[in-house]
Amino acid sequence: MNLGVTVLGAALLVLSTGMLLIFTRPNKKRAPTSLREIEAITSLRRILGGAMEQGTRVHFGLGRAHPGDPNYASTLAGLDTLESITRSTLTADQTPVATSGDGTTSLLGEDTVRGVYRRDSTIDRVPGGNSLLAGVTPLAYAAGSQPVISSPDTGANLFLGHFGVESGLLIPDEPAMDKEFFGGSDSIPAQSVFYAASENTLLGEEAFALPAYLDEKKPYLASLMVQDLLRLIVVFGLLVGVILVLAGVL
Amino acid sequence: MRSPVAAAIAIAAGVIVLAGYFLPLPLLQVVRLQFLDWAMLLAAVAALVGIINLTVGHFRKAAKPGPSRMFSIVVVTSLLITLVFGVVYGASDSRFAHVVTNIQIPIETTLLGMISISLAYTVFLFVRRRKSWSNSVFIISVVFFLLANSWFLVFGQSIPVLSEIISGIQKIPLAGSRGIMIGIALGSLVTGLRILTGIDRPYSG
Repeated sequence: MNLGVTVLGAALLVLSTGMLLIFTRPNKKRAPTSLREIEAITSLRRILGGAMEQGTRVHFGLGRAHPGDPNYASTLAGLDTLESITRSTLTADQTPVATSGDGTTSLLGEDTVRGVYRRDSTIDRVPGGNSLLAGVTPLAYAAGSQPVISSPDTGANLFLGHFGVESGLLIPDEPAMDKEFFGGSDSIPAQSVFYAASENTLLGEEAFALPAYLDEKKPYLASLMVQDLLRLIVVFGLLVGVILVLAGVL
Repeated sequence: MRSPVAAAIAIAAGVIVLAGYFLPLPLLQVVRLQFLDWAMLLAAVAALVGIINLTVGHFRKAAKPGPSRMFSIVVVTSLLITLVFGVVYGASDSRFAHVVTNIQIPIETTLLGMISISLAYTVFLFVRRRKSWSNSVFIISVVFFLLANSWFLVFGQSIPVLSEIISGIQKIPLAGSRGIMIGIALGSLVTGLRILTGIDRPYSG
């Protein structure tokens, strides 16, 4: 690896970690964070309320990335969201069910759902099998998720993780099915498909902001602040790069 | 209460693997590769647990009368046949690979065909139902850039100034997707750091 790129990468990592740790610390002088409204997230709250009222279960698709995949961060955001959703539907008749295309994610999904109930001391209410390995290839995952997506028990299908073009098979195929849909991904093809299928779609970095919106915990809000600052640094770097190119230095 | 021991192990493993990318110390590289080997082994065991879970679920469905019973019977039967042949002949056996590939490829090709129909239907529904100005801009952009990157602007490629303008137009979707990718990269970085620093733990431990 190029030494300059390595040093720059390490510096960015140290800077981001430092900012994250500083912003996570409690500080009474700092003004409370206000989050801009994202229509899809407002809809998600309505979707969850609707599913609880109807007594149906929420299906959560965590995607098909595995922990060694660079795209796994979106699945981690999905697991955080699954935890928030499980917590907010603790009083619901049915526990959420998660599907994924990777064995480790499947275990983490089960652990996430059961962990929420364990901390609430209601673990005896949770049956097993809340997280399913739907298939290990992209298309097998999409096909294997179909029984859960179209099950009469499922009132809402939520997706947050890494998906590809196979997301075309995950979207509701028939409007009369009366199932709510919500999607977010780090992949551009999946975002395009989800956006065409539903207005309840998160675009770009909104997928990583979802845990902060659902569960206004300090670490999640700190992440958003770090992302904003890093974005400013990137914008500044791009502008400097353009000026240097125009000046003939680069 | 989450276990501090589990968090300490996770953080230490994460820091060692990450440090291995930046510091070329031989000992660190050995430890990093060992950790990655263990991770692969654990991932394989997790996949096995997932497959057993899937099989048990389909066994239960196959035992109950219902509309999806036949699908579960097919899934369990194919899984068992593949498992037996895989164990007897080995995964690298050419006859075994030939049979699996010739079943898997036609099925996946069919699914890809279904995706294209599903996407065309989704676009049709999009145009019919969502009539706000932003959605109109979206659909016009889709059609315009599809044409711009195909044959539509070929006639101007040989004209000096026009060819540069066309080249610029063709790069607009790329610029947009790079903007989205930068946001996603920053989100991924910070999500990873939350796990690495133990601020966020996707495991109960």
